[in-house]
Amino acid sequence: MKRIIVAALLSLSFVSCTKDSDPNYYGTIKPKHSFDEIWINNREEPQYMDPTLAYGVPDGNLAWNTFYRLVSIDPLTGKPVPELADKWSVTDNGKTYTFHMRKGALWSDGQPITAGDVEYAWKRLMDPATGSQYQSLASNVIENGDAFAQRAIHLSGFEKSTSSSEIQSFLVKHEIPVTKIQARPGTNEVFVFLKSASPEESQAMREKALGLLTQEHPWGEGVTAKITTSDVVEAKAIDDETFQVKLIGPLPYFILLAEFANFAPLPKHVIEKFKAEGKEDQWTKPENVVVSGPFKLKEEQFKQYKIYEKNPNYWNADSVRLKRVKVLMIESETASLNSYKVGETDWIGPHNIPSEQINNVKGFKDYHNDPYAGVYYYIFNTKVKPLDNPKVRQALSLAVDRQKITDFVLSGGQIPHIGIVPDGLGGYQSYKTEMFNPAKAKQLLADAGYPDGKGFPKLKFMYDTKETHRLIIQAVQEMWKQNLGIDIEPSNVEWKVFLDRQKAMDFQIARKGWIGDFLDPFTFLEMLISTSGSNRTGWVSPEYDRLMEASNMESNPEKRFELLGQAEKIAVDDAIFMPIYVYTKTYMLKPYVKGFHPDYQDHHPWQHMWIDLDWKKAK
Amino acid sequence: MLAFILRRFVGMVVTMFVIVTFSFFMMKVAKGSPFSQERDVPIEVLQALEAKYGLNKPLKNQYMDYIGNLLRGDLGLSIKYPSRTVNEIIAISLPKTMMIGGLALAWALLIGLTAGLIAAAKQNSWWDYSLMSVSMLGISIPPLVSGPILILIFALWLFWFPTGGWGSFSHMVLPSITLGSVYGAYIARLTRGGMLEVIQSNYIRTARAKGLGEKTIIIKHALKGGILPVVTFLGPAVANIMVGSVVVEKIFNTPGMGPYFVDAAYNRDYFLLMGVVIVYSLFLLLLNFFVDILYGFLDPRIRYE
Amino acid sequence: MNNPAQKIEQQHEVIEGVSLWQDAWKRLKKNKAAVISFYIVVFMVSLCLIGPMLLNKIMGYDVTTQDLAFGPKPPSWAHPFGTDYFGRDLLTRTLVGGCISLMVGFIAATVAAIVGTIYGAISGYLGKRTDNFMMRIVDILYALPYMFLVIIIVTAIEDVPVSSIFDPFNFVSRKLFGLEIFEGKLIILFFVLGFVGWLTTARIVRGQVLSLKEQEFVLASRSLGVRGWQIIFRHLIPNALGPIIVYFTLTVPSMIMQEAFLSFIGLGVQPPNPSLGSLINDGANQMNSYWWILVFPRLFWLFCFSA
Repeated sequence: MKRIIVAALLSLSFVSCTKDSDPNYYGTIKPKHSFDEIWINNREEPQYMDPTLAYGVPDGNLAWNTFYRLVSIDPLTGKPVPELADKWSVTDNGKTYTFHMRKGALWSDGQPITAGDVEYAWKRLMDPATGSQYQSLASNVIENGDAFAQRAIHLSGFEKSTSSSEIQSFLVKHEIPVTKIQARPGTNEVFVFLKSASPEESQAMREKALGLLTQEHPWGEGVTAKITTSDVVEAKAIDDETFQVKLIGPLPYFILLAEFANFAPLPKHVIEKFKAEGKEDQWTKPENVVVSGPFKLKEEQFKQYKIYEKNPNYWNADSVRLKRVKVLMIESETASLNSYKVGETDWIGPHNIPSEQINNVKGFKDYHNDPYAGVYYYIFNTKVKPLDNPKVRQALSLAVDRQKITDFVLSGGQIPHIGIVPDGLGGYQSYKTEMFNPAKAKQLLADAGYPDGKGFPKLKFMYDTKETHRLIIQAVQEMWKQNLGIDIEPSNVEWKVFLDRQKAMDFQIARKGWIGDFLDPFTFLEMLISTSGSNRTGWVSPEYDRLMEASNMESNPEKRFELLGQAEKIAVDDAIFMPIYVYTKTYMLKPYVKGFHPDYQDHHPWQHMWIDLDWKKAK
Repeated sequence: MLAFILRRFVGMVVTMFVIVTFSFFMMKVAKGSPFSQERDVPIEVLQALEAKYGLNKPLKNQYMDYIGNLLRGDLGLSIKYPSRTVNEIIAISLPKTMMIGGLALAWALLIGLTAGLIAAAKQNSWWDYSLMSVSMLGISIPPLVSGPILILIFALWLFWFPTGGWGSFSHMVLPSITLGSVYGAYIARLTRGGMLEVIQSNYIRTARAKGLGEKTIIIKHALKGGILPVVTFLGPAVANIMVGSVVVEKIFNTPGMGPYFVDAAYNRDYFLLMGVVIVYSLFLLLLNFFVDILYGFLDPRIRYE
Repeated sequence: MNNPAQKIEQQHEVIEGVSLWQDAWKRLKKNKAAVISFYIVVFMVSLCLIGPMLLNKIMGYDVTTQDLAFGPKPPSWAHPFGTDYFGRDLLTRTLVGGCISLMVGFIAATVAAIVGTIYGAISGYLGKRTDNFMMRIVDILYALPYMFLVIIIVTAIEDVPVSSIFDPFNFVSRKLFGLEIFEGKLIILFFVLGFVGWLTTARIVRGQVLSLKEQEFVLASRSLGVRGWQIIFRHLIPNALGPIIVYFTLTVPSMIMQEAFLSFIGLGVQPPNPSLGSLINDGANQMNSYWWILVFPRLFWLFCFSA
C-alpha cells in the first residue's frame, strides 16, 4: 500500500510540473517525449493488422505506414512516384503495366523484396479464401481477376468454337442460374459465373454445375471444367525484378489503386511459414512481423497503444527522421481532445474533435481544417411512393438550405454540395446546379400532386445512432416542414440493422456518407451503377451504366471526365441522392510537428514527419 | 448449511446454463450480421468469413459447438478482433476493470455508509438534510456528466491526474471516484432508510432502555439489521461495478471490459459478447449467493431452507 | 402486470382503517421535509404543464421551431435559460422535457416498484424451493445482455401503431406543448424501463420479507390462521415500505437517465421532442462551449429530485 501511495504522489508531481502553454495554441506546446518520437491517435484498435485484410481507416493507416507499395503518392504534388518499384511502363494502350522492382529493397529481416512477393500479395487479396473485404478493388480491374475472385467455372479444351449462349442454355436447362459467361481473352476458354443469393447456395450450385459438366461432357470429352485458379489471373511476376499486370481496360486510376494499403507486397516466406503451422493470423504480431516500409511494430498493448520503431532495412531509411511512433487507441472524441491538450498526443486526426467543441478550438493556431474526399448524402428509395416521382425528390432536395446546415449546425468549414462527386479529384469538376430554391421546390411538389404538402404521407427517415446525424436531421426536418409543409418521422436505428435494412431496401429516406477510396471520380460514381453492391436506391438507368462502362474503356483522360460528367449530371438531375455537404477533416496538430502535409484523403506518411524543437525560432 | 450450499450450487449451474442458452439464441434473433458493411461483401468472401467462425452451420450445431467449447473453457474467437481469442481479450481487460471496480467499491462504501449512518443517527437534523441532498446530487449527476467535470478540474486545470488511459495508480483515481460516487449515493440513501426502520424496532428500544450508548447501539445492534437492504443492493451492484461501466471506461479511455457490453453487441461480435455475459453472470450468481448467506449472519432469524 | 396492480388497489380500499398502511401515511405527513418536498413536486409539475403554454402565448416560443442563424445564445431576459444549437428557447424545452421525463420516470418507477414488491414479497414469504426458483429467474433476467434486448425490441416495434386510447392524451399534449408526445416508441419505452427496473426492488423486498416473516407479529397472524396473501399485503409489505420508498425515489432519476440512453439509441422520446435526459446529454457534450445548455436543465432536474 505504501508503495502505491508513493507511486501516486510521484506521478502527481510529475504531471503537475509540465505546464507549457501559449495563448495562441490549445494546450501544451512542448513535447512530452524526445525529439525523435511522435505520439498520435489511431482512434480505434485496428480490426486487422494484415494489410491484405485491412478494412477501414484504423486498419488502413497502420498498414499503410508500415507496408509500402510499388508506388507512393508524393505528398506535395499528389502524383504517383516510384517506391518499391523504381520505374514502371504502360503499354498496350494503357492496359498493361510493367513494374521494375527496386534493387536493394529489402524486407526488415534482410530478404530481398521480389516481384514474386507482389504477385503473392495481389493474388492473396483476390483469393476468396483469404476473406478480404477489399477483394473487389483488385479483382474488378485485373484481367480474369473476377473469375478467380468469384470462383467462376473455368471451361477449357473446346475443339470447335462454342457460343456462350449455347453454354448458358445448357446450364439453365439444368436449373443452374448464370450471371454471365465471359471469354478468356486470347483463348477459346470461358468463365461461367453462377448466380446465387447466399454463400451456402453458391457452394451447392457450383458443385452441382461441376458434377454435371464432368459427367455429361456436352461439348466433347476434351472439355474440362474446374473452379478458376489463380494462375489465370493476369498479375504475374515475369522474373524476380519484373512484375506485370494486365487490366480490363485503360483505367487511369489504376496507379492510384496500386498505392492502396491492400496492394502492398507481402513477405511470402514469412506468411507461408506461419500458414504451414496453422497460425496465419499470428504473423502480424510484434515478435513475428516483417515489413517493407519505414516503421515496424515493436510492442502492442491491446486497446491502449502500439509502438513502432524505425526499420533500418528500409531502402530509404536515411530519409526517415523519427525513431519511434507511439500510436494510441483513444476512441472517445472528448478523451482524444483532452489527451491532445495535455500533450499525451501530438496529432489528432478527423473524428477526434467532438463537433460541439469545434467553435471552442477554432480560434487556435494548431486547429486545422482541410477538405476531405467524402460527401454526406441523404438517399431516396426510388421503389416506394411518392419517392419514385423525380419531382418529389427534386422538391425535397431544393427545399434544404445546405448553407445553413454547414454554417450553423456543423460549423466545421464543410462545403455545401449538390454533386455526387466532391470537387478536385484529379482535376475533375463536379456538376453544379441550383441547391436551394424553396419556391421552386414548392411548385415541384404541387406539380407532383401535393400542393402545400397536402396528402403527402409521413415518410420515415432512417439514420444510424450518431450525434451528427441527429443534429442534421432535426434541421432538415424543420426545413421541409417550413418550406414544403410536410412532416417526416426520424427513425434512429442501430448501425448493423441500418446496414441490413439499406441492403434490403427497407427504408424510405436514409442518410449515407461516402469517402473516396482513391482520388478519382469513379469511386463515387460507381455507387449508382445498377449492378453495384453499394447502390441502395433501386435506381436503374441504362444510360448511366453505359456512360460508366464507356468511361472505363476511354484512354483519353479529358474525354473520360466528360463521360463521367454526363453520368453525374443524369444522377443529379434525377435527384437520386440528395447531397448535403463535402466533408472536411478537422484536426489538431502541435506546432512542433513538421513534415505534415494536407491531404485530400487524410493520408499522412509518418516517414516524412519530424519534431522541430526550435519551431518558434523557425518562424 | 452444507446441504443449502450444495443445492444453491446446483441451482447456479442450471441458471448459468439457462442464461447461456437464452443469450445465445437472443443474439441470433437480432437483425444484422457481423460482416455487413456499407459496401456489399462479395458472396465468396462472406463464405470464407462465415466458415472461419462456424456461422455457416445450422443454428443447432452452432449452439452445440459453443456449449462443447465452453465446457472445455474455450470462449471462441472474437469477430471484431480476429487475431485474438475471447479468453485473451477478457484476460487482458477484466483485471483492469476489477482494479478500478475495487477502488470504486471501497470509495462507495466509505462515503455511503458514513453518510448514511450519520444521517440516520441525526435524523431530521441539518446533518441529515445536507448529507441526503448531497447524495441526491450524486445520484442525479450521472458519470456522463461528473466524469467530464472531474477531468476538466483535475486533469485539464490542475494537472493532478492524467486525462485518461491506463498505466499507473493515478490513472485509476478519477474513474474510480466517478464510478463509486453514484453507488455511494445509493448506499447512503439505503443505509439511512434501513437504519431508520431498525432504530424504531423493539430490540433497539430495549437496548436504549438498558442504557447503552448511542454509538454502541447504532454500530453494534442497529447496523446489522439496518444494512440488510444495502447488502441486497450490493449483490447486483458489485457485479456491475466489477465488470465495468460502459460510460466511465469510455470517458476515461480505460482499456477495460465495460465497453464490450455495448460494442460487442453493436458489432455483432457474438462470441465476445457471450464471453462478457458469462463473466458478468458468474459475478452476479456468486454475489447473490454470498448475499443470501450474509442474511443469516446479519439477521439470525433468517433460516437457510 | 395488470392483475397485481388492480389487486393492490382493491387492497387499498379493503385496508381502509387497517392501521399499518394508515400509520405509514401518518408518519409521512408528520415528516416536514417530506411534506415540503411533496409541494415542490406539485409546483414543478404544474409549472411544466402550464409554463410552455404561457411562454407560447406571451413570447411566441414553441418547442420545435428553429432559428439556425440565431444559434446558441447565453441566457438573456428574452431567453432566461438561453437558447440551444438550433436557436430554440431552452426554458420552453426544459419545461416540456421535464414534463415528459417526469411522466416517464414516475410511470416506469411505479410499474417497477409494484411488480418488484409483489414478486419479492411472494418469493420471500413462500421461501424454500419457490424462493430459490423465483430468485434464479431474477438472476437470469439480470444477466441477459440488455443491449441485445433493446436492439431486438427496437427493430421489432418499428411500426407499432399507437392505439386510439392515447388520442385524448395526445390531444392534451398538443394543447399544452404543441407536440404529440405519445408515440409507439414511447409506450414501448415504459415496458423496457419497467422490465429492468423491478429486479433490484424484488430482491430488496424479498430480503426484508425474509427477515420480517420470522418476527412475532407474523408468526402470530399465521398461527391465527390468516391467509398467506393477507399476511403479505397487510403485514409484510407495509412493514417493508421504508426501503421500497427509498428505492423508488432512487429509481425515478435513474429511469430518466436511462430514458436518455434509450432515446439516443432509438427508443423512447425522439427528436425534435425534448426530454430532460437528452437535454442533459446534449449539455454534457457541449459543456465547454455552451455551459447554459447543461446548467439549466441540470438545475431544473436537481430541483425536482432534491424534493
